Amino acid sequence: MRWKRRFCAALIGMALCCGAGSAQAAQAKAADRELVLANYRDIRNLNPHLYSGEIFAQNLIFESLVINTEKGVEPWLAEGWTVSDDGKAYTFFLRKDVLFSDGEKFDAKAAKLNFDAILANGERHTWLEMIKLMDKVEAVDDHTLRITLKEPYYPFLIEIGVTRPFRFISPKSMKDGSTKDGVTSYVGTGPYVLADNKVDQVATFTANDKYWGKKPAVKTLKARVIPDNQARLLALKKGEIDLIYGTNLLDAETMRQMETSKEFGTALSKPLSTRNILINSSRPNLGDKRVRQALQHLTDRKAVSEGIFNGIESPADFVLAPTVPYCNVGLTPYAFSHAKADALLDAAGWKQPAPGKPREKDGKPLALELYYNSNSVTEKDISEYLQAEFLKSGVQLNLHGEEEQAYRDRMKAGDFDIVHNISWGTPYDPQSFIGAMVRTVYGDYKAQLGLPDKQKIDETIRAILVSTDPAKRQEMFTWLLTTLHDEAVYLPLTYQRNRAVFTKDLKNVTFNPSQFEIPLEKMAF
Amino acid sequence: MLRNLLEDRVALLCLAVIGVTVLAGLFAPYVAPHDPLAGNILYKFKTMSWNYPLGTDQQGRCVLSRLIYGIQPTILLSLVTMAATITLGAAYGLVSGSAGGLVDEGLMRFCDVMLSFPSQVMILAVVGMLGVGMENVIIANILIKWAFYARMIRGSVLGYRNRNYVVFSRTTGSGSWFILSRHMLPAVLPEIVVLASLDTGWVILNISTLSFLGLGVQAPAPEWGAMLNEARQVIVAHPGQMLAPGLAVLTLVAAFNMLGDSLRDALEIKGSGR
Repeated sequence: MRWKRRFCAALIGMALCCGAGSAQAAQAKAADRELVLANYRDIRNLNPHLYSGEIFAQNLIFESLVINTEKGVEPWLAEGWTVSDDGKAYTFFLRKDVLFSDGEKFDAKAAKLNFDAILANGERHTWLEMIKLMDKVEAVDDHTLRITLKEPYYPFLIEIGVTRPFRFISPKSMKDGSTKDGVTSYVGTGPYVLADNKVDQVATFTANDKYWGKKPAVKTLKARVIPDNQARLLALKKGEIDLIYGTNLLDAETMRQMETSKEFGTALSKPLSTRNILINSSRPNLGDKRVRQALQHLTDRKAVSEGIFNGIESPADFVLAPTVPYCNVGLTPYAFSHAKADALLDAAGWKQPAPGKPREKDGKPLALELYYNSNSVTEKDISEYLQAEFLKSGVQLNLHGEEEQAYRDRMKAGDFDIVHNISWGTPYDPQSFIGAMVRTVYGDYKAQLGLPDKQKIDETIRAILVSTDPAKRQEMFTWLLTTLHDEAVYLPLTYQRNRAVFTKDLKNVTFNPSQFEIPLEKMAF
Repeated sequence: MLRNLLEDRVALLCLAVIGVTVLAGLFAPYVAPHDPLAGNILYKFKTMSWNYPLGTDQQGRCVLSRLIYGIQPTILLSLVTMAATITLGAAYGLVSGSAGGLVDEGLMRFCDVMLSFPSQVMILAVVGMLGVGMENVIIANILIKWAFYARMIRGSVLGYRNRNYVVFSRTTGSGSWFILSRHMLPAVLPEIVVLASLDTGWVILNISTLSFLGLGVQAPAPEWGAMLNEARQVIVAHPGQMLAPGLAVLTLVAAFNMLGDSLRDALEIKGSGR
């Protein structure tokens, strides 16, 4: 019996030791536990002055003079700024304690070099009306930077604060003082540095020990590439990843399932932007305003909201929500009504030969090509729903899913009848969203080319951006939004909300005002 | 021969399964409880009920109705594909086997070339070149598979070529067409039938695979492979969605394969090379 008792005691002792050991290990583990998030594609080219990198990764490495927060524009690399009385000259006072992660000093000279590099590639920044208005950038002294505009531009500070292109890369990373032909390394002033990227597999970021601001709690971040939605979820369930974050990476069913789970947490942002469908008025079948308006009447936004998003995203009546600045202009929504749509289509000369068959005019069927981003987890479902709903009134939709880059290229080329689209969301809406209508940025410009008022639309947008009188600006916004609503080029669906699913251990999962960003630096275990 | 088959219970069961499925597919509009394309998005992912015996899918469409309407593209097109492939293969094999000599040699070397390509990869390549769609999937399947049948049938034709009655027919001056159609074809026909039924399962699987990959039947048309693919998108939240189309494919392919085995036994084909 004695040996038995002794054996038991030994066992208990061992168990205690192990327990203590693992508790210590757990504490140590929380401190240097790495945060793994899943993304659907590689981080790609992180050059801060170009647009082909993943925004969340650019945000980790590169910083801007000011940032956009819930409360508006706030100081960041610039401690403060002044604006001249005519609204044309902005003077920024830079922080004095900022170093690039390669040891270079961040000062007015480095900032000017960055601005020069951006301006040297002006064509690439067509969406920014501001680039055309920039007159000169001067380093007044070591820590003072002055930017002079040719005309006052009211969204200047907001656009200076968005992720790209106005962020700063170390002058040592530039090629002969320029960035448009690529950079030699991705060195910035941000909270993290890029340690390694295995293309299409995993990117590793480590905390920047020279960082001037609050150092992040998580020392190592990994962004794993998992293109398939279900594979991402399975990886999360198995504990291979800690976080899935993004408007297009999580469907409503998953959110519903995870909300009730004990092991995982979920987070939902406020409505940030508008999911919509862009209707190409320059296509033969869609040149007629009545056809476009009919499509608006055929869309049951409530069913999309309830059926596809389980109510997470609320139905949208307008492409820019009335809560967006200057956008509460008292428009009448298009009501869901097959009868109204039928009347419009009949009037436009499209006759339905038999129920369930596409309408015809001059022997040609009313068939529209709808393109969606196949990397998005909900666009296919929305498309199939619309396909069934539209066919009831004799509008045939042919669906085409394309990988994200191909889908974006197609938008730019204007090679679509209708296409899934989003408004840019806070803080870009409304100024950047309308600014991108006057030139080929996404599909907007080409889609509006068929409108009789296109020229006036472009002139109005340009006038809005350089207007100084808020009342006049509002007047122009009212005309612009009314015209676009009446011409029915944008078919609003829902107000999009950003979302995240993560392991319960992960704390501080929050949202930035912009739907494209992920505040990883704030997260902790 | 038929009696042998009728005594085989497995074969009867398989025949019944296939028969019922084909009939259901042909009369889909009368059998299916709902329109396979009409959904109610507010009733998505519902479980079994009297109204929806197999529940509803992500668009709130009746899964059973989609399964029944899916028979047409799945089975009927497989049968069409099989018939076309085997006709082409049989004709080629018959000509090659009966002609002999240099003609046979040439035709068979061409067959060897075709057979040397891995079939799945080639089908993907052909569909890639011709474009996505059901017609192209069928064409690709025929183009890739005919050579296999040509070779099999030529093999059995060789066995009959020097049979006494054929030699006799030839010496009495019968034309080669006469010999082909009256002597050779009936002799190899049972083998053709077995080959066809054995491989129909393979074709069904293949067409479903291509639709699963998004190359065959396009949304919203119901097809079993495409349905499986849609179910795959929600495998974590609703794993039950995979069951109906998955089991349907499994049952049918198994039925065709077992029927083929039984047919072979019933016909007592010896050394058929499979």
